[in-house]
Amino acid sequence: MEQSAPWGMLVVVYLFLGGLGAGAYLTAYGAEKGYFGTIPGLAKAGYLISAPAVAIGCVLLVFDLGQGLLKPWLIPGMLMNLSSVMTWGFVILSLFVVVATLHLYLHWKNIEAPKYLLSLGAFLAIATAVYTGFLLSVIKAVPLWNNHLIPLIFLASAMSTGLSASMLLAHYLKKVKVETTKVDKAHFYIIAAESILLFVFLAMAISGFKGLVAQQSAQNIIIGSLAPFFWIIFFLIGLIAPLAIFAHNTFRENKLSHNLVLSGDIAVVLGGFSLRYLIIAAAIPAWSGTLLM
Amino acid sequence: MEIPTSRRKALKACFLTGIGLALATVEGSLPQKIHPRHANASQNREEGLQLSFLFDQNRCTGCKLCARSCKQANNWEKGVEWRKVIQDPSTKGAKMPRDKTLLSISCNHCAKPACASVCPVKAYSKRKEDGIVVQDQGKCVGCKYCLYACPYQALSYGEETKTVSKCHFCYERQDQGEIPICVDKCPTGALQMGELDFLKRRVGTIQQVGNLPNPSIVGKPSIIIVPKRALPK
Repeated sequence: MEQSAPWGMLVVVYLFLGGLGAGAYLTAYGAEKGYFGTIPGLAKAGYLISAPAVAIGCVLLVFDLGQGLLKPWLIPGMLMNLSSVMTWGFVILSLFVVVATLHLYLHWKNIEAPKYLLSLGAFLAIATAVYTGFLLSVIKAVPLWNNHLIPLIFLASAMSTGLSASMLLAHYLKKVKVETTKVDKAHFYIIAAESILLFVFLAMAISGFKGLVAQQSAQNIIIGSLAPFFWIIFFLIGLIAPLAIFAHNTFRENKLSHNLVLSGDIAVVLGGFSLRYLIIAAAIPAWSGTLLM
Repeated sequence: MEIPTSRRKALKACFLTGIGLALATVEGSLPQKIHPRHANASQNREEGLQLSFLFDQNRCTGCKLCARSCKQANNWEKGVEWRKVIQDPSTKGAKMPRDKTLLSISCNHCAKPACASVCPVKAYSKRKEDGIVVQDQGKCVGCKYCLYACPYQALSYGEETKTVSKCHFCYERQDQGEIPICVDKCPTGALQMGELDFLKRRVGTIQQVGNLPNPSIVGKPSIIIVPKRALPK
């Protein structure tokens, strides 16, 4: 029974890609609605990322399933248990991939998508991002995870990574320097919200409010074996650096160079990935499997 | 002790010793296995029967026959453990069994099994007639979600079959009127079984010892423990 952690890197990638795809769709949605000013190629980039990212994530999940390749006919059975969050995820992700692919096709053919389809897609995108967090937060036996702030943190992180990835792809597609103040402002508020939620989440764990095991998990992240990864890769590079860049562009008149903003976007994607990795890696079961009287 | 001086006194002493021994062994002093049929005491049940394991820490010697017999009977695949006997590390050096603190633990067939609620393929089902949680290995896709969900770490993922499996309370044996192999093979009666409500009413039983999870927040497990008594030094 004392096995290594059941979920490995593939699940981290799956959670990350689920969030990235959902966030990219929301970016495209925002771009079409004109929330981000006029950035050429942003909507296209968002649609180009959304369906493939989630679809690749799903394929990775199938690879990760013990029976995924041995008995693939068992996979449709994952729709059986409507009380399982994983079943909800299966439904949400399947629908999302279908809707996002349809959007990509419509965008490609320059056909205007019907309004309800756009709203349905946005709803499914939010559901996808929230699901990746909810999958973890319903697990009572892992005290660090059993906190419904995780879906919100993952939603913020999904919006942020999706926006960054879309900005990077849009830049790659169009190769033009654009005025990004509106995007930077939106991005600043998303990362700020994510930071606050994450701070509350870690504070709940480290204070012992979520029990001793959650405290131990949080200690692993903050001062333990995961600390170098957390502080350097996630906190400094993935959170503080982009937050500072976007804050500068939001509140100062003199704007940072476009390349610096784009490196901030790369940092955001890295931060989003390391966030999932940290939360999966820090999982400690409520009971260690040993007897301590 | 006084040495009897006549035949009458010797016979009297023998008779009294015999009576004393007989009385001492009549009730409760020797291990007795509780059969589900005998354990079935509550008559007005609304929710149906829930079978449970009972583990007496004072009787366990740490022989691990429960786990070994289970392994043999159920052909555990490599790396899989349906039942394990764990020992408090502070009593590791103990020579006498009575100085060891042990726990034999498997799936606790919870009233609200977390494994069943998270399993996307409904591989877990709870039998209505006795509350046994049975897992259908043929349905398992190997997502390992249940490994995180189970608070007792009673589930094992086998690298050979790439599926999860767990204790099924020997439901096939029970259907034929037999008791589970682990209970059957326990030589001291430390591991017993019976109806949960009945076992709960036994004096001095609890559902949680040491660092075990809190039973009220983890799905109401069917395990009853007679905790270790403090021995006179």
